[in-house]
Amino acid sequence: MNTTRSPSRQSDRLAVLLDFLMVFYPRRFRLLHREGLVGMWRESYPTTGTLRRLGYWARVLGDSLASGIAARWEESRESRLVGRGAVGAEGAEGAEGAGGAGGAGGAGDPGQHGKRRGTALGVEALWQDVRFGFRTLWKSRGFTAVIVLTLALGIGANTAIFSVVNGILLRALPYEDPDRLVTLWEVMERGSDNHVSLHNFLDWQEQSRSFAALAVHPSYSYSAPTTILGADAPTRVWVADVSRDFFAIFQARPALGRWPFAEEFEVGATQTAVVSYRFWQNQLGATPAFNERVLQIGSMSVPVVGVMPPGFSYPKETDVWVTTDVEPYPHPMARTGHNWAVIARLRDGVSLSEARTEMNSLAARLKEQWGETNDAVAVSVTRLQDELVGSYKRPLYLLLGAAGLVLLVACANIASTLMARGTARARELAVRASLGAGRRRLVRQLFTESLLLSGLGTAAGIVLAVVVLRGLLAVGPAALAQTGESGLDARAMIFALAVAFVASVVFGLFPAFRASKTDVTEALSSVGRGNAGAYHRGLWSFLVGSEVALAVLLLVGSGLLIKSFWEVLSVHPGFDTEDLLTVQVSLPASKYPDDQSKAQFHQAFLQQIAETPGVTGAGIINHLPLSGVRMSGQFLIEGRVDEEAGADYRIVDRGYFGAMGIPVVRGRVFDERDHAGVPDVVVINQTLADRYWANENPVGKRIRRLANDQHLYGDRWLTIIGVVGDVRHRGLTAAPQRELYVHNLQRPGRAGSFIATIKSASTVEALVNTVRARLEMLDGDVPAEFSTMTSRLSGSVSDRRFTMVVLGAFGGVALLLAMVGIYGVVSYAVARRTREMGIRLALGAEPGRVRNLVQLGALRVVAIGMAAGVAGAFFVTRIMQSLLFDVSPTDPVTFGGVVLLLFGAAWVASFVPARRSTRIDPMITMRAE
Amino acid sequence: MTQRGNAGDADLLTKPVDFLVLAVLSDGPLHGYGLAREMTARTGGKVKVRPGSLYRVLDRLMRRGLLDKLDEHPDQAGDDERRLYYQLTPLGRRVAADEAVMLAKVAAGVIATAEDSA
Repeated sequence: MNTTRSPSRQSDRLAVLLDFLMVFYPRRFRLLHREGLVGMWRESYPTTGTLRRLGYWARVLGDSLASGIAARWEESRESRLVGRGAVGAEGAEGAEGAGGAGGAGGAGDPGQHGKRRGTALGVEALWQDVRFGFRTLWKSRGFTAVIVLTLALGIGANTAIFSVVNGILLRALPYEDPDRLVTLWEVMERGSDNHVSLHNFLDWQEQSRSFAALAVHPSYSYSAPTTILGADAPTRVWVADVSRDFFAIFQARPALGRWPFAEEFEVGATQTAVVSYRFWQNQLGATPAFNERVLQIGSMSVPVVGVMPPGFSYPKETDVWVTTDVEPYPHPMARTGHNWAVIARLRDGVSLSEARTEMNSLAARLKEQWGETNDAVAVSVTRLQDELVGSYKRPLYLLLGAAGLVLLVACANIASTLMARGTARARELAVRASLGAGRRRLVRQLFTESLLLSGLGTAAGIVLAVVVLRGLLAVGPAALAQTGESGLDARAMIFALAVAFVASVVFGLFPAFRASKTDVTEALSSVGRGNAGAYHRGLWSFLVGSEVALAVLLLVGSGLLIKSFWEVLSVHPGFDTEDLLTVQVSLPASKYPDDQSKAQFHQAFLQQIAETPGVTGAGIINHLPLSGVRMSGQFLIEGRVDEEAGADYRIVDRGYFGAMGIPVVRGRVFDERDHAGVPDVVVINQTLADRYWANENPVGKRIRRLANDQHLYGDRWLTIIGVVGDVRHRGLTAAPQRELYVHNLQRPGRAGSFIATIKSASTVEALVNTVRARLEMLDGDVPAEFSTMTSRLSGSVSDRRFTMVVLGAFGGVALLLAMVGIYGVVSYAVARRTREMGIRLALGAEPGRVRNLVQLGALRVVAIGMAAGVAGAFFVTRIMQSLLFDVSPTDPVTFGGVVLLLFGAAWVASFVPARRSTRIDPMITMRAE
Repeated sequence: MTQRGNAGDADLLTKPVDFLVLAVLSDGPLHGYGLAREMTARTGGKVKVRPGSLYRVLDRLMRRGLLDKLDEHPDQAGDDERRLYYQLTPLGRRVAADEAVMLAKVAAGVIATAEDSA
């Protein structure tokens, strides 16, 4: 029994759906062929496969729409011919019978011009329709403006966001077969991805079979822009040391020159460089003689042998690629030094998952072989495209979805406005029909108007999209900038047109057919009373209710993001950001080859800054907070045998803590007592102190064997001299990490690149020029980059701000549209019930009560829509979880706020027109009867 | 629906799809699905007609008095009762035959020309 019920219920549902689609056909046709047509469609319903079913419904919809319109067209033509007694000519297929060629005002009746039928009517009548359409739209400019603007908002929002999605997510990387490019990461025991150790990489290169080629370059966490001499001017650019197969992996061709030869990657060989197209243009004079240039990179002289094709910039913003050898270095813990980024090309015929499987078993084998000295347990293989844009995927698709909702709201609004207008024009149409205008003629006229409206709306929408896109690029994170290049490309334009087409067909054609169906006698007799009928009112309430529901969704979404952003901004970064200037300096290693010369420069530079008027403090650090760059590693604590401690660590001078306003919690920070040659000291942060010295005073305790710095410190002990407050180095939303600071004079090396932080008594802008001048005086070959800490802080939250601003704007638009919709419905209800109101008022009803009556009707619809919206939001906001910070996706404050806001807006939008009902003069309304 | 049928003589020339329908139905009544299948089969898979289009053709032919709905469907085992059958009217039969003769003449001409030039 049960087995037969389910398919039959399914086929019932199928029949109902198919039956519904028959509305496209004219009535007579439907009565005659409905059964046969539905039966025939049922025969071909696919019993399995979601995709096939989707295709089926697309076919049914397309066929019903096309055939329905054609059948209506044919029918209206023939019925008119029959009506005129032109039966004998019915087979004259070419007679389009548009008529009305010379009809003044175009509202005319084609019948009167029957004789001229069959001449070049198509174009002429179309032109006439267009002219008449424009006149009609111009006559009701307000109405036209509302619709065009609404449509423009919907189309503009969608097109702009689609352009961003297109530019970032959909556009293929500018490399050959970009889908085959992957990056490889080592997976640590606790599950996090890490860069790769050189020794493991060498084993992968030798043992893996999944890749056509693998290459490494030092991971960026350990490097900063490098100062290069030998180009047109000293410049700071990103330099990548790349291993042999790097260029082969991308399968690119050099724009000029050649790729480095294999022997140029060998130990002891002269290294060579390839420069970016941009670098060649800006720094090498864009001449073909570039290969005579030798760049000073660090302490090396590197001849340039080739120029990358334009647009090539992997990794990150690299401008110079230098050949490097990958010689293993003998060290027992070499497999725990995760300093290399790996890129590879999948071998032909090998899938991503096959590569993953192979690499994981290879990693397991290496782990087994090397035990404690290898801390990677697995390998993660990621498509390069996913890695580059992965973090944008969710927010961008969320925004695209939100833009879709805005379009829905806009469409609902337009549909209800068109319906209101259709009803208002019922009398006009009825008069024209009674004068003999054919139904097809009327439908065509209305449809022409809709097309004009959507044409105007699309044009305005595209203009709006261009403006919005520019705004987005201005407020958006840097990654959006690459969209700017593609901008509104052909794909985005096609998208805009498709969106406009769907919107206008759905909401242009239906009101047109509906309006043209109006019964002449009924319309003429009752239009004075404006009786819209229950069907109309129901549809209308549905449209407005949907608008409200969608607005709730968008507002709750943006509300949650706004609240998150607020929470993020109220997080204290752990230092004072106000009036703090940062200067990023990279010393050219050719001029500052040793620690001593670097230290001298530091000292001279800091001296100069200290003497600058208005400076209240200055210090230096190797990697700024929020810069995204960090070093981390293990160390040993004196007296504890088994415990393996770990922390992020930074190199600072004694002025740093004071300039940054980082509070000293215990002990002291570095001062003039600490320098090279005296016992080494270290400052730790609160989190580190709490983790390892929870119940004791860490000051005076000693640590040693700082991970990557063992070669610097040897086995010397570092004494903890103080504890400072936590700083959110990794970003405002990331919990503070365990951190320790070492002294720059005791820990030389890597000092070629540093950031000075300068605390100013006044605004930092005034300081920039003075500091720049002094730096130039000190050494003209040292380029520097200035920025304020405030802008760095704001840059660190730019992704979040972008999503919030855009979604907030969508929410605002939806709210506005919903208000317009409510206003329209209530206005219409008041106009419709003028007589009833007049009678009520004449009979002594209080004006306030009459107003409430009208308003309550509207607010009931709003309440239902709101309930639906809130229910929907409960589910939908869950997908936003990862974008929220310290806010639950079902945050009651946000939900409550949105409900109040919308209800208030709805009240205002309905109050204004409802008030009109109290001003009805009973005498005037009654007289109109 | 068929009161205008007499006018059919005035325009014998039908559209190719219309003629195909007439041709298939010359062999006997068929329902929509069977008709579509038969049309595809006879043209070697070249003509695939969507239900909506097919019924527009049927509707057109009915209005011109060339087709009728069959009230009692032919007696076939396991036949679905819901199916509606279509058959040619006497006028439809005549139009189909006339058209076929004319088309055959035209076709013969084309074939002859093709052979001459070959």
